[in-house]
Amino acid sequence: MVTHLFMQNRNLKQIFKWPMMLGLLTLFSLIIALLEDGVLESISLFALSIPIIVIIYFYYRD
Amino acid sequence: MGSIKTWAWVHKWSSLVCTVFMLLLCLTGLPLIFGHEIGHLLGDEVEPPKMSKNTPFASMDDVIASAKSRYPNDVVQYVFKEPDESTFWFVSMGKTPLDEDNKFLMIDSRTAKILDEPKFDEGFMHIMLRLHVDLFAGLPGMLFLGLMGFLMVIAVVSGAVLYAPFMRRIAFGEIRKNRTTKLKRLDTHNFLGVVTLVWVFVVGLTGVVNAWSELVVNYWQADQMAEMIAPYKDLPPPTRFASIQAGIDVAKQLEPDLNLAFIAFPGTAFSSQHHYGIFMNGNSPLTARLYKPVLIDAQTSGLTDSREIPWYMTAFLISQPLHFGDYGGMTLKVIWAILDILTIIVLWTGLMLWWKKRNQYVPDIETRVSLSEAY
Repeated sequence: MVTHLFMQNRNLKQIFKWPMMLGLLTLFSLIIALLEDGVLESISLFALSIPIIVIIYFYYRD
Repeated sequence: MGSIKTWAWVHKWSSLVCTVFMLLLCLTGLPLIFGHEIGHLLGDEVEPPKMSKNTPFASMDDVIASAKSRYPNDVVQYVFKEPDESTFWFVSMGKTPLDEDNKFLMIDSRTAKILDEPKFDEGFMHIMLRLHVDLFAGLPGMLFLGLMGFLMVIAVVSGAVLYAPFMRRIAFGEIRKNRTTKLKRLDTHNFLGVVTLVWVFVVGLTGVVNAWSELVVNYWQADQMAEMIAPYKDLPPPTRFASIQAGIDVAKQLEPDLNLAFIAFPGTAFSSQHHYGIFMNGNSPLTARLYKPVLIDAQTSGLTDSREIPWYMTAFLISQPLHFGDYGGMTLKVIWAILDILTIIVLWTGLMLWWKKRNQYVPDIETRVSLSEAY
């Protein structure tokens, strides 16, 4: 198994930075959409679609 | 590596046991997200006639009389409605208040005319619902699926722990597509799994809470309902019933800012032999779920008691929208559906990783430990 030799081992903070951000975004959006109506709800719904956009972007790039 | 091995064991077995059921739940859940829309498409749902918005509502007594005229020998169990829909009521009827082999009538809320007799207990959507809720096995089926959901929550947590050792040398979102199928599958599983993690965790956990619904309701009856109806405990069941509309009016006076959500008739799970259980709710996505029970004496239409629902009912009622994804219109439903499909991919790639690995020998010990042990 050849791994990326040029890549240093990443530490936990680096590994979990983006998953953590997306996770918090999901959690807050789920709750705010439940509590709020109107603009805040729309923003939350948009925020909830960001993880999906991230998946599509990374999966289909290059 | 010792603790990683433990987590790997936990992830492998918690996943393996629940995966088949989780696939079933994801597949049956998909049409359930769009239950309302599918009902419309199949033409199962009758549209009530259009009338001016100012048309006054019929008395609930007339609605009930209308239902009774269709089935004179049955008793009314519940009157309920669809969220955000005020033009019709659903009335459920059975041989007894607790009869599960019940019938449903759709009654116009303005004219009290019967519009339809929907069959909620047959057809494609009913099969999907039962497979999703209890595998056609009642309470034991619900609790079993709840247990499987709990295993999935464990699999999600252990999966998050295992994410780290796999990601030390590759960047976030990197999927090694041009190497082996196995690596691509592994990276897809890890990437999709970690990005959808919080959603899966929330939907899984709220699903587990929902699986306990019957027991939570039973406890609430034994706890609060029993206290509220204690003065009536030794009285014989009433033979004459007072106006339900008068009871609704009393409840509206008590809670002028709330709307009527549903009515439980005497002898059902949400009332007593002696009471109409009138359940009020608010207008926001959250308060629409948090019912306020008002118990009305079924012989006098007078108020017996009304109290806030306890924390465990609140927790249970809040967990429902977070599981169903029905609080943000079509946008949220589509997001729910996509995340559901992504979860199916995570489950499938996880299963395939385990399946393909069984007969494979990986010579390099370090690779074996860091790559193979975890799935």
